[in-house]
Amino acid sequence: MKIINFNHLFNEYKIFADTCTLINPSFHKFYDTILSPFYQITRNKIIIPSMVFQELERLEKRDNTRHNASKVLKLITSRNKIDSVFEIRGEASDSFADNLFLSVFTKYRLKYNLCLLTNDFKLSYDICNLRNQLSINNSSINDIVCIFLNRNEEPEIFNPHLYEKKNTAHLKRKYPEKKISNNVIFQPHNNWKPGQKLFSPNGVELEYQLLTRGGEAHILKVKREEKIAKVFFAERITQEKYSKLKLMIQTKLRSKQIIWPSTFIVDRGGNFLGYIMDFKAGLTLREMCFYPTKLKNEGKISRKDLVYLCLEILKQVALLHRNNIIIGDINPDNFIIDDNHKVYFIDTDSYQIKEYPCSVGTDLFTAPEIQGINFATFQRNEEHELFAIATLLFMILMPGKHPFSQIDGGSPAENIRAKKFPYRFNDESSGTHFDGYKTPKGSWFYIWNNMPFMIKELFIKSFTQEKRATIREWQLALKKYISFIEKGYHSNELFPTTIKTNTTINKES
Amino acid sequence: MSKYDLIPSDLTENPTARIAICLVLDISSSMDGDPIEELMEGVTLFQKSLHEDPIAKYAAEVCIIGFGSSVTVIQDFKTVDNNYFVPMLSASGLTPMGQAVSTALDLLEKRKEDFRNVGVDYYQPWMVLMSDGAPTDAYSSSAKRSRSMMEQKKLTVFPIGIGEGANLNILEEFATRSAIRLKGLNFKDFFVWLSKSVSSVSRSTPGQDIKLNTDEIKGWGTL
Repeated sequence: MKIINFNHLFNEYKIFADTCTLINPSFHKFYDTILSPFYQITRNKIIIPSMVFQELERLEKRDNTRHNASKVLKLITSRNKIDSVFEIRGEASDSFADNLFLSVFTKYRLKYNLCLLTNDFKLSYDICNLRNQLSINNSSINDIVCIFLNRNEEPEIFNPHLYEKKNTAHLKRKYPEKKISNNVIFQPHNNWKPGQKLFSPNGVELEYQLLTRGGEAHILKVKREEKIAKVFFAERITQEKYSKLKLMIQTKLRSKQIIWPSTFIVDRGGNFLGYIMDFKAGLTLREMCFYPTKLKNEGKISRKDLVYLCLEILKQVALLHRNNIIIGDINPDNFIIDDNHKVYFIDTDSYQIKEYPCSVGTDLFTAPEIQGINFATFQRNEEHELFAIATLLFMILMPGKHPFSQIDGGSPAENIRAKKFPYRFNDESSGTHFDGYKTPKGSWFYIWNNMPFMIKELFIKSFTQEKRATIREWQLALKKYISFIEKGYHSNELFPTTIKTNTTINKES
Repeated sequence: MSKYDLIPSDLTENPTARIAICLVLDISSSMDGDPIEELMEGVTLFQKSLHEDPIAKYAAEVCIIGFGSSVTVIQDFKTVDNNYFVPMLSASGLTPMGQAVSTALDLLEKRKEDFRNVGVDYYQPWMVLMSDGAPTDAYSSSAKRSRSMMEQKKLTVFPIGIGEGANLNILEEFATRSAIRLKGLNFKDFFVWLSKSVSSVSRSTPGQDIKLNTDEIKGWGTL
């Protein structure tokens, strides 16, 4: 048995005590021979959560525990605050003691070496597991130890590996592997209801507030953190969803603007319920850009801002595509824009990654060749995505107007299939002509007319031809559009009211 | 260039795909008193809820038709983005339901034509038909017209009976779905549900089938 260096422990560690150690009959010997003397030298107090103190008070009222509880309570309260070996700490919002230790240890493990005096092996195991987490760089974690009083009433350091061996059957179920995302078990049925407790995979309880009920999940705000939790309805949990999310959590994207699943969320038994992601406040792209009257009345956004917005979005799309991730369900409600015009991609759990398709979508952003096909049944490719991207860029530059919305039109799906692009375009060199007779009424004609030729060309390519404009082509053209606006070649007006007159500029652009 | 002339109107300025909703309301003499008051509150609440929804306020166009001593277009189609109209309804006369539905269908057709002429996308329109009794005019041709539009998926009809006196069988002739009887004067719950349904439709794709939760309808009605 390893001899514990208490001098080192008292000098270097924050020490906490749990109820089961405090009411252990041999605790008083431990106190007299070790805790009290080392406290006198180091003045490092043993921390007792107020939850534990309250638990002791309750145990004092029970016949079988009255003696030990009352003895230790006397010990804790006998000396004045300064001389006491113990320090009681707690907050009104504390949950039950086991979880409290886990959450306090999780919080401080990067700052201090931590020690817990407990005789609860299950809790010791969970506490020791906090050392093994993949989510943070291991080297930055300080030491965490648990000390228990063994049968000979001697303090001993808890060894999680021995515990694992003794309890394999039980642990196989609960901790198949040490990877944090693997701690979670998939169970086809759960009966979690709002109001019930939620935990992170390492057992820390999450306090939350119900924000809304979505189509497939409860959306919760995690208290005191800029985080959102998505807890799926029982009937919406599938093996595929679980496996897809596991893959997503393991895939790290180097962008804070893509709100990506970060960790699982589980019930008390470690069963998969959903996941956690960052919380961002802002307007959706639809709310921000798709209502011309609102844009005009507010007058805050210029055409240049819209072009920048397009480029911001393309930057993130390019990053996703580099990681072989296809967004799939591109729509104006899945982008959030904050006060600094920074764009965030939300609802990312539907993205197509590896063998998992994006099973949702809307007609408006769906390429003609995949109109009417159930999205869950096939993998979208980059060409499909480029059609959706072109549609989105069009609806940003022509605030809110769908590229195929037209006079005497059918449904958007019909118009897209027919490739009936309703705006005027003439390119003698390639022999491409669109008469523009069905251009919708309003300022749309003028906006289109005032756009640079190279932008129009990319739209035509994306909406009517086999090979669609690539992200790179869009980025180059839109950057040029910005310089044209800055040089005054093209109008910075959101809603120009005249046709473009300067023909020399026409040539240049 | 006259076809491109800028006519600043809601149709040309607002690119949001529209959902036209026509409320066809019984304001015959039997509705006098509490029923008409409750109905007015319900209709106001409906428009208020739409106005407060960031998408529905630009997408929903509401038309209100009353039938009693005459058929009156109380409000022609308009969005509720800037303000909404609080209808002053007064109950009197008979129940010319057939004529009212015919007027509603004409207005819906005209509105769809406006959308097509200007180039605005639209969803399948809705007609809400509410009555506490039975028609007193020849209604069968307009019932047939309404029903056949619903069969062709050109219109969604909600036949609603108010109280015990409503003839649900006749109301059902106007639609391919069962009529619902409102419990007491529970207009408020109905209109809240209706506005929620409108906002969920305004978030989906034009041309798609409207998936309405019929269980929810049963929740507040009695059958």
